Amino acid sequence: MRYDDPQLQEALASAYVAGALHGRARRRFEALMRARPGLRRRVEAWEDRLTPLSDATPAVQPPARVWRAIHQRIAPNSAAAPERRSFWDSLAFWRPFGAVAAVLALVLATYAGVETFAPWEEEQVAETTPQQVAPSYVAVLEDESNQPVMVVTAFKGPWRVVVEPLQELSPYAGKAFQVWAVERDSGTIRPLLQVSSGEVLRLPLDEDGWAAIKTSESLTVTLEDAGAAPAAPSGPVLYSGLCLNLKGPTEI
Amino acid sequence: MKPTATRAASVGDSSERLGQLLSRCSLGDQAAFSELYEATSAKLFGISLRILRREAWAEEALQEAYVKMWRHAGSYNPGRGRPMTWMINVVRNQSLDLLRRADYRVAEDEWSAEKDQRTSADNPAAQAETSEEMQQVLGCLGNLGEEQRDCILLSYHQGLTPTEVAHRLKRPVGTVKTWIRRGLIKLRECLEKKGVGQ
Repeated sequence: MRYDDPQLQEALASAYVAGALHGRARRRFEALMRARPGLRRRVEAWEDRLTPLSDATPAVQPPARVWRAIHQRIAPNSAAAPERRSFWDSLAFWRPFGAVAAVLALVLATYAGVETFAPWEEEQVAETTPQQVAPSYVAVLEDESNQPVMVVTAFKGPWRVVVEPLQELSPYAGKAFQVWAVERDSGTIRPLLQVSSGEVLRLPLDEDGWAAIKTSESLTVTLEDAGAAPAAPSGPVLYSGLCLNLKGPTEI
Repeated sequence: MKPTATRAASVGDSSERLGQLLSRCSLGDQAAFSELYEATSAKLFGISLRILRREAWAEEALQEAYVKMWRHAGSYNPGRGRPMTWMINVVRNQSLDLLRRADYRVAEDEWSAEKDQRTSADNPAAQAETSEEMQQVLGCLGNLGEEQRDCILLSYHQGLTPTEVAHRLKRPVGTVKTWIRRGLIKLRECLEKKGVGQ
């Protein structure tokens, strides 16, 4: 199945809004929607169609403690309670790229017109024959509050990937941040690599790894056991971002 | 403060008012947020309660939803439609998300209707006050087969999975999925004929 298929898109968007898409399928669709404005517009159209169904749902007065709790969380001077957040906190569908765009601009500016000099690559350049110094693909991954968390860049000649965390990443003992590539057409999720510290990570890519990035729509991150990648994500998506092709025609 | 319920959702003037409140929220105006909460929280709590069926869960979903609305008020696009549509879908998605979290899933097995007297089931009395938009959707749903319609409404109002709907209607899950898919397509075609949703 191809996610480009308008009929499939329409079926998924309608099922999503109708509440008929659940669990992993729902999360995957949300990740997909973040990456595809067209899909988001379909969802909005379905929201417009179906939301009137809620008009006759009886109003029920919530207890006063709900407002007190909300007020405590939004008031700037109140002691900030530790927050539990979910993917939906991002509400990425209703906002422009914001902070991610800023980071992306910075990444691109670093490489703009630069073919011979790449600050990130100095150490590597010295030890191998000419490498491509500008990345072919870049993904800026953001967290649930739309703050950029890491930049993943992929280079060819030879194939390699650089992960630059933008903030301290400290998983629990035995856990690691698993980066996944979400395939553009099928939505298939493939494990790419694991990040377990805030250090810049440089890894060679094999053919499969390169293919996974090349065909990916977006990259996402979940928390998994450190070591071998599981077959599928076991937890909610923590970070995600579009994977942009910087060389060929840009597909968004 | 003591919030009071209103029927902001179905009144055009209120829609404009809610839009203004959201804009003020995006500028950090807490008084506007408080007014927004007063105007909409009872409606949204009812919607969340219908999906989650437990007050404690609906309270949590409501809290999360309003915190999001506060943080992301600026991303509501006034050109897109009713502010209430945006707000309802924030709370719906929050509720569906909560409903399917594993720990809530376990608790659901232990829940029974008697434990929660304020369960918001389909309430015939509420059908009396319906908006024009709702009449149109209901009109189009009326063109579907009864079972197709039931499948869509059970999914929409209660967040039941196709498997749960199938169990409820004693039909194969594949059939239920087909009904939902085809039913929604027919619904869209019908609404488009009426000039809705395009």
